Amino acid sequence: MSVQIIWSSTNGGISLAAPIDHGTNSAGNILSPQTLYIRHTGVNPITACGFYVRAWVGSGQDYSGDATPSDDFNELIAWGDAGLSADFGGFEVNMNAVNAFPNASWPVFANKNTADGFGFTFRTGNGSSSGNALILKKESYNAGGVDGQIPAGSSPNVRIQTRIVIPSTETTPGIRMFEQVLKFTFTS
Amino acid sequence: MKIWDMQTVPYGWVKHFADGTAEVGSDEAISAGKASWTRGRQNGIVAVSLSDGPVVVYLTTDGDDPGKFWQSDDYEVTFGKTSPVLIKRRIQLKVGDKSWKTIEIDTQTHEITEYISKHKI
Repeated sequence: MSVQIIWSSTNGGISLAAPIDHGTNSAGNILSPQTLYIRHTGVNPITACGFYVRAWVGSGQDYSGDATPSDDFNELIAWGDAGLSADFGGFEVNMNAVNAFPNASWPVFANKNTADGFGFTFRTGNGSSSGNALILKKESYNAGGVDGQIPAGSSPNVRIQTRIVIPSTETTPGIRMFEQVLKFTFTS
Repeated sequence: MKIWDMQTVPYGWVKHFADGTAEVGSDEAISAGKASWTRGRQNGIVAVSLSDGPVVVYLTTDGDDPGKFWQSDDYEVTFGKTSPVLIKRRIQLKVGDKSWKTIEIDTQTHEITEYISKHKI
């Protein structure tokens, strides 16, 4: 493999292998943001970087949620798609690392994609499949960088925060699992 | 250059130059750090073969004049994994000032897509 991706919880840290545990809470709450650091081993930049979510595949790790991978995924997207504030929630990303992930870069029902352009709710047409992946913002590592690109040997690493918003009207307790995917282009 | 004169590798690319030489970028050689598209020879390319197992595509210039070629691959990786999955192999030839003729191989379905793009590379 000519390029490998390293996800870590600190800048330059060891590779994380386990799923991110976003925690537990009741309906209507927002789970604590998780900070992810991303770097790669390629000799050239990786480009066209984008994130999307999909149903749990596992690739060596069995699904251990309380429903099914497809149910969890469909529910997650429905939370983001919700037309009523009480039903709104889901998986959100904040890519405004250079400004310390401010509140203005976290989505809300009225701004599912934030006005400053750094925060996104994964939902239909927005990070719900490879074809509509959310392009990595350069502010996730350097305001002078290039959107969608992670330089070779980048330091500091790309940093993003993600969090789960539980809709106020959610009534079904249980563990949900889904996959967050990074897509990119690389030239050897 | 005629395609029947061109070398191929099972997985990867081969650059063919106007002087009759070739440069091989097999997946194995690239992974071992022994080949690289960007660190290899860039000038004088007249044709490139790109392979993904049984599927081979060829991209050649008109005649034997060198052109500007580019090769790239699309990958995906899920959180917690370090080794990306190769999704598409791509070879491009610049056409005019801004457009690129692009041929892609989907590594999952082996579908071949050919189009003219106007994206800056």
